[in-house]
Amino acid sequence: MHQIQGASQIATVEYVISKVVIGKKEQKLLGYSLSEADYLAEAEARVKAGIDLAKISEENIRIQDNFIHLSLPPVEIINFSFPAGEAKVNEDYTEDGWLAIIEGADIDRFYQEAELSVRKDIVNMGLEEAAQDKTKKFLMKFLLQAGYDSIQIDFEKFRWEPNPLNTGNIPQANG
Amino acid sequence: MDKKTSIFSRILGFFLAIPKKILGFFSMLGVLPMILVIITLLVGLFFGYKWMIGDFSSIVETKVSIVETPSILEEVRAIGELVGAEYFGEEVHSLSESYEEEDMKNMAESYLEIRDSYKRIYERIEKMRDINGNLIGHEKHLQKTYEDFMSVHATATNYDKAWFAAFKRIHNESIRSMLEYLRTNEWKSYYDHYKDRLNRERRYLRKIKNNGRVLIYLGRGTVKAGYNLDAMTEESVVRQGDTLLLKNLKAQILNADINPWYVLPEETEDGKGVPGFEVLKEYGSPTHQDHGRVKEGCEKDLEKSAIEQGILKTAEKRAEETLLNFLNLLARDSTQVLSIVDIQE
Repeated sequence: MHQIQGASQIATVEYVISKVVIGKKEQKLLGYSLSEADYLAEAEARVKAGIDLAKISEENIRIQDNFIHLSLPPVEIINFSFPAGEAKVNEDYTEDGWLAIIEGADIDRFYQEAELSVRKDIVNMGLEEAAQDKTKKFLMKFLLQAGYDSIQIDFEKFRWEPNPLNTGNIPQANG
Repeated sequence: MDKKTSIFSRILGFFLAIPKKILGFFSMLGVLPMILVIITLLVGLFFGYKWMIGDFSSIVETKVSIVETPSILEEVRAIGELVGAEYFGEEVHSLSESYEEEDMKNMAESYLEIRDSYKRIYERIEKMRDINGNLIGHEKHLQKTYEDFMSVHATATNYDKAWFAAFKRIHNESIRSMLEYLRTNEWKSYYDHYKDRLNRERRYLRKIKNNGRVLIYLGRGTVKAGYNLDAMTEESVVRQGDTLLLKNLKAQILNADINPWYVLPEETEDGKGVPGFEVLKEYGSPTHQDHGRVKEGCEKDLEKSAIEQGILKTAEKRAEETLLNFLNLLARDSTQVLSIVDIQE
């Protein structure tokens, strides 16, 4: 399963998000807890956002003399990185029980839950404004070099999905 | 007939007497053991029933959960990355591979540390010459060099000491001769010369340290390649007729990630998603650092595979197309060809 495909995205902003991953494993007998194991690690998510240049067509651009108006597609997540291997495990807190032993599959479950939690939380972090701002600044440089002295850039209206998991992208175009 | 009846009544009498004998036995011991036997029987029947219907979840249950914690935005920074290609792949990596890579690195570092610290002392005495340029008490100083080195080495880390002992075993001669050999040889030529013996020593040292831990992960993830446009300056953009050259830019790997989820649960029909990592084998109680090591190993392998499959070439081609299209959309531009090149001039 290997595949390479072309892309045309520009990432203009990177967010660093910290997440404390606290996991617990319990072994129960007839509903009673026999043994408990605890896990704690400090993890970091790195999210890059920007725009997809392939989504820009002639319809998005209006030019009059030295004035240019760019109507850009909504900013979106270009890359989401949550490296479990780089998390710092707190050895003081992390402890196996006499019956409950934290194994690889349990660690993976903790991080899967944590990733879903981060993806849910970034919706409410107000990241879209920063992403739009950085994208504008980035493109201004190009447009000034192209000889335009009056530049207006705006973004297609979007709404934040209550749960961004369906697309992997933060915002969704509102038509 | 009478004889047969008599045998039958005797057998019947024997079996009828069993409960009486058991009751007699327990009455001799008291009521408590009887209660214990009844409880054991009931518990046995309960577990037997659960075993028959194959449902142990209400008896023995393993619960894995996480405590909800906030995600905190630590930093927002401007970047300028043009992504030209994306690679999707999967890799298998084992703990022994991770250790091998780590050991090879440690082996080389230990070699250089030992060699350089000896070399530093050696070079100092090389400067000690008389007015005619002859070495002063060279042999005496070399001996001193060796002694100085040994005193420094005494404070080195245990692992360096282990490697020092290994190099000594490989040379099987005096420490001073060995240090002289190290001083005059580069690591690569040293490794090529003693490859088999070095690897034997490496496996031996690892066996002591590893303690039979086995861990193998399957990792699925993505690699993205393209250009860091932050490196672009005004001087980087050169027009030659209808050709635009973007200089001093080199296609590079921008991200190589294996996330906990490869495909999110909500993106699959069955709602189960596809995990980024899967444990293929685990025994001997690997440590948490071991898990981190193997996962990072999967990510490095993924990046390596992406490069081998030609992600950088695809990124170069696609980025040129993307920028050319964008510039042409700006209407003012008559660029027909756009080239991104990794040269200064």
